[in-house]
Amino acid sequence: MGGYSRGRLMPRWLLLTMMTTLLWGVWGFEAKLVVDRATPFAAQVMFTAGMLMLGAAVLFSRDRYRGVNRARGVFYAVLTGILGGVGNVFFLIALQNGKASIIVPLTSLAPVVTVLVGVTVMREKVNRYQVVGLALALVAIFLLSL
Amino acid sequence: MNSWLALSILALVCWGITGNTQKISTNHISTQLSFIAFSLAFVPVGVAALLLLPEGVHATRLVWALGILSGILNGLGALTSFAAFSAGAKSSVAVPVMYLAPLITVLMARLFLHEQISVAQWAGIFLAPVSAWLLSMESN
Repeated sequence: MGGYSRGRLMPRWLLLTMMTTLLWGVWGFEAKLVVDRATPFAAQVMFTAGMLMLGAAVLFSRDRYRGVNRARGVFYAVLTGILGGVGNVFFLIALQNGKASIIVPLTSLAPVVTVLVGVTVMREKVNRYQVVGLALALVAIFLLSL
Repeated sequence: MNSWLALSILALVCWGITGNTQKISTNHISTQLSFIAFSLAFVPVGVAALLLLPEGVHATRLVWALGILSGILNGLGALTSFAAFSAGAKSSVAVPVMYLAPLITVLMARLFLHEQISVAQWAGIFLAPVSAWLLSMESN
């Protein structure tokens, strides 16, 4: 696990994780402003344009080709994008046919799958504090989605 | 089982597994290359959305700017999440913290759009930091 960097109050992985939470939280708010003014499909086109602009900017990064097993790494990164996109499609079709009040809280529990796969398949170790934290996080995620 | 319930569970499984595939990806390649490959996977989704809009995308410059900003914000979040995994975050610990993002969204909606926060959401708002703190307790 990454250690504490000099001058930092928390490990680098935690700082980056919290930055992700903040960015996706702001995105959730900003995305609402978009879908209030455009259809979901039009919003998806604009969203893809923004994502590709950032991808193009990252292409100039010095470490862009660094890796020990590029084929395997790229496969899993692309799989991440495809699973995310396919998940979005399933979610939107479900919303067309079912109740959002059930679908949104239910799908918000996706980290359950991540943890199950992480612990059983990837052999990640989780201590007792983290187990309690995980349970509380799932309750918090569920409550926030109501 | 209702079809919408089955689809919801499929969405849950797809989204859940992305946390693991992200981690595996950064075990092999850099954060930057992971993000580039990840963002390229969105091209077919964007093209499909465009094909479903035969009349094209008609929106004001402001809406376009907001839409592109939305993609950049989500992309930056994806980039920092890849970087977190690359820095050693476990998928089973980091992903539940990342999924607390609605905490920020709900508070911003209250602050800027004056939306009401329900009792359940208030409970979630107070529980979220406690859970994040417990999840961050890594034994060294």
